Amino acid sequence: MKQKIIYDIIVVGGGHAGVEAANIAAKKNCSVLMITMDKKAFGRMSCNPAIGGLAKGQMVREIDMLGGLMGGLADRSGLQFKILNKSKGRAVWSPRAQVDKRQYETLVTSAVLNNKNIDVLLGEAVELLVDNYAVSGISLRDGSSVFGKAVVLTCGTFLSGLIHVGERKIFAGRMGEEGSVGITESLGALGFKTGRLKTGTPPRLDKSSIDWNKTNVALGDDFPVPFSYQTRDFNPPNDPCHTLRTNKETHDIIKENIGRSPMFSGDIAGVGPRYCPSIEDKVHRFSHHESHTLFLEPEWKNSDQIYLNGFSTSLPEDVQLNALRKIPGLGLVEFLRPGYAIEYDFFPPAQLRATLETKDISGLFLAGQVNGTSGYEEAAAQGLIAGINAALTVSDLENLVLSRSSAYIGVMIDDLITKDTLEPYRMFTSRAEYRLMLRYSNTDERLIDVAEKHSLLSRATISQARHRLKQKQTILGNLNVSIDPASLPNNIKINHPIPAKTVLKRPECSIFDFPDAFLSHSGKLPMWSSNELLLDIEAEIKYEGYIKRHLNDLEKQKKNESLKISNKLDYGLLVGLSNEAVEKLSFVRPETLGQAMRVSGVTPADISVLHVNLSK
Amino acid sequence: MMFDTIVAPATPPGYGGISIVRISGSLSTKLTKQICKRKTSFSHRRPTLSSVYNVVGNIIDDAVFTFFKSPHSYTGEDVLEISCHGNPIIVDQIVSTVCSFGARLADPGEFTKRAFLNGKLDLVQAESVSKLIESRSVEAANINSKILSGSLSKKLNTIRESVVSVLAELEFEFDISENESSIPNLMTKSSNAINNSILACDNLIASYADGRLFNHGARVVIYGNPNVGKSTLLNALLEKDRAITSEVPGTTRDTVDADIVLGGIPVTLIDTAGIRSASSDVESAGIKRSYDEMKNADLLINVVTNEDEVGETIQSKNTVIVFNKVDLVSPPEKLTDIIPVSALLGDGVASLKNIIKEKLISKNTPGSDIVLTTRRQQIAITDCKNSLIESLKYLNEDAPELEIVAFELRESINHIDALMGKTTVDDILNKVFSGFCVGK
Repeated sequence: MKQKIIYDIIVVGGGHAGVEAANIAAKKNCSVLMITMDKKAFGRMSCNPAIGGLAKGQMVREIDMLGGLMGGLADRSGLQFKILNKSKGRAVWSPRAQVDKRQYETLVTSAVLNNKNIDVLLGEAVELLVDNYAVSGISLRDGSSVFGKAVVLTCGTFLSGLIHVGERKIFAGRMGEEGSVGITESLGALGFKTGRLKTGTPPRLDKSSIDWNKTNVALGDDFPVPFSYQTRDFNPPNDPCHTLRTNKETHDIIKENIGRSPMFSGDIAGVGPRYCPSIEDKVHRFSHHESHTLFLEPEWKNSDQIYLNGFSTSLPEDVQLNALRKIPGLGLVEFLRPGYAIEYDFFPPAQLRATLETKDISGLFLAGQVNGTSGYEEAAAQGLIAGINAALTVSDLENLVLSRSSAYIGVMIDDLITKDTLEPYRMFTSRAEYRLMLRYSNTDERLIDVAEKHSLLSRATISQARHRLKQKQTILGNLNVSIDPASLPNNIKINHPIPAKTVLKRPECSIFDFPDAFLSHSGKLPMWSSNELLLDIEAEIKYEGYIKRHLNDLEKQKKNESLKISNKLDYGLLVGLSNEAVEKLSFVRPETLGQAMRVSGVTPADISVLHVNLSK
Repeated sequence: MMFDTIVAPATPPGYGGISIVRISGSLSTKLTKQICKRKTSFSHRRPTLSSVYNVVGNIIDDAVFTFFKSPHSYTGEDVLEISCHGNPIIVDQIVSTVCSFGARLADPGEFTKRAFLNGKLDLVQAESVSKLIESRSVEAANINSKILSGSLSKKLNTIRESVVSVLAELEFEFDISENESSIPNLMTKSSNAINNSILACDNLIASYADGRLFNHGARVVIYGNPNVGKSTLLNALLEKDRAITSEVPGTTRDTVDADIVLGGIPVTLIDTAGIRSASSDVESAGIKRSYDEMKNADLLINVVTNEDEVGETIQSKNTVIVFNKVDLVSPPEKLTDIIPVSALLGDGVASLKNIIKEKLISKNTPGSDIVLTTRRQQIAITDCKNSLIESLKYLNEDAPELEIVAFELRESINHIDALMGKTTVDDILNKVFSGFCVGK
């Protein structure tokens, strides 16, 4: 008889979450088995050909600093790079890259297949094997079983996936790929609550059917900034994207046919994202806008397939085509694939701990769209955290939980496990109450200790990062020195020498106004890195007062965050708790008083009742 | 809410026609069986006559029971009000019987606190309950009942909504738009909206002077040389003999307080010892008190009986100069701004009352009849306004740091939320409700 192999970690799914989970666990010397239904679809970008963007770009940086793949691979497959929100204040600056999907997938695939710690198995997971509330393995469609000490489920939109194109319905995981049935039922039988969500994707246009002369060109930054601190020799292309605008005729056609969109006819039970709305949604809900911008994005280098960003839809194909042909430039447009909506199962993430392990089945981790999120970056970040914690659990080490003040990833996971998921969760900077501290430009500073403690980066990388941060301290020290009025540009007037820091707090002063002596440092940093370092120092000094207020808040919150609540607490027995709080807290079962405070529907009065009871 | 049941007399202690005992909590229904020996509970809002029985089953009194079913009650819980005969012994027996069946004696303000915690009132409304009870004039009662009905809360919500929509536009720019060109438009719009909210805050803050005046009243100090008729004037204003008067200078040794209501303003009149070189330690202590009272006064009435004394008037304070004893001496014609009075005969006293009222009411009161009544409100709105001013300062910079603008806008919203009790921590709640009497 063949000897039974027990892997450290089984990862179900090879999307953005699965790949990060497998990769980091392998990096931490775990034996990993990845189960996938398609060996050619690792890290597939099934929607937009871009990585990063508003709030998401910050997360890609964090993924990079925690040993993830996404940032570095995007740097190597990017077609143009741009920092968004440049005019809106530096804490909301967000890096974004237009990415060659094929190149990205190729890089991910080789990272997975060439990893000696990762075995890949082609198959469909249909049942979870559980022994006394602990996960022990997975049963596959073909009847075989595989065994592992921990399982990370990253099934994306494949669970009972249902595609809608107008009135047409197709069971599938992604267009052209089969869905998966069984895992939902398996988790349901274990007592997990499930829900339905939907997400949409726009049509792909045939490049040769577009009149490019009628479009506007949109380029990336002249001085591009990479996602990864480890990227060297960064010389990416700056391939153009193009924009067009919808018009009244387009909107009229959509309005006339809105009844044929399953979203409006009620065919789709799932709730769609409010902030990434379909074009029928935009036309219907923002009827006062006469026009919306559409972005024509190449899906890969010299791609004949153009992604029509801003036109996500589940309208019938003929309606999509007719509406688009009213736009100058798209008069003769042809589809390579129509837009569609997909409906899928998810597991309300309040059933998870902050480590992404389920509260009821030990060793079982959930990450990505199964947790009700939307977006590659959100998925990758969860996969990474689940992978790290799965590896730490297997080795019996202390888990990793990122705080809301240290990372967007921390904000996201805390939101997921405490708030109601009524629509796919997308990251926004406004979700982060400590936004001023969570800059993309100080990611290394925020996460280096965690990365070092859990060995997420190589020693060499850590020491490079430490070296960079040392430069920051040097310059901050220099800026305490008084500056001579004569050495400043004319528009900055000071009467006598005062510390450079004080001058920098003035709105009219930029760090680049100071003489080189203040800014010089010994580090050999790439241009972009050194530039970014200076800008971050400037931000830190200009925001000093506000950051202090954040830190004071944090100090006050600290007690609550460390006050543990038992998983077994019977909220129904607590005198003085509102009925809503009893219901919500019983479902969420927060791990700390801090988490309890953020559960929706729980009031400050409820918290003081809880606090009194915990202190007894 | 999962609260225990509380009970307290809702009417003041003592003998009277009727006293009311109020019960709130789930026991309000179950108790009926025991204290009324009834099988069914009372109907919602229908006063019903029944006997009240004590623990051993003896009748305490016949009373009218009014039941309010949750959530349609003051506290939002089941509430039972027992209107019994107005005798403290009966009230005590009923309360202790109810307690022996599992209820607990309520803390001061606990009924209103439950109304707040159950979402029946916001914190600003809840505050107005105790203010309404303490109101000493029709005008003050009107102010407070308006707040209780939610007019101030509505006003605060309007300001809040306006700030929230500015913030929402900004957050849309940070998180969704991906469009850099819409910014200049947005800034003008935001700046206008913030300015309007600052104005609204200013009006509310200015209204506190009146809100304070009508609720807390004013201290009006009568001072002057010995034997100018200060105590006589006090008695004339009160229309009764409160202070001892005589022809001997220095009759008033200590300060004398008396309360009247002038045009809706509760006024405490303070008669002081006449100011001169004291002839004894007692008198000099009295004179020192005179000075102390003058320092804390909202208005001074300087009583004079001859021209020379006018020059000694303290000019820095809000002062009314009264020329007394016009029945004996005619006031000099060249002096303006003095009020001729004969305290002894009552001549000119009515017009003096009018002048006191006019001087007390602030000149800069806005047209709105919504006013702030507590220091807590005034501080919160001032903090809110200061955050708005900061946000505007950043917004008006050449290259504005918009997320700092957003930060300050959030702060201003937080101040309003804390004021209305949306995000208020327990110690603030306790502070608000500690000023209540038991039974409210």
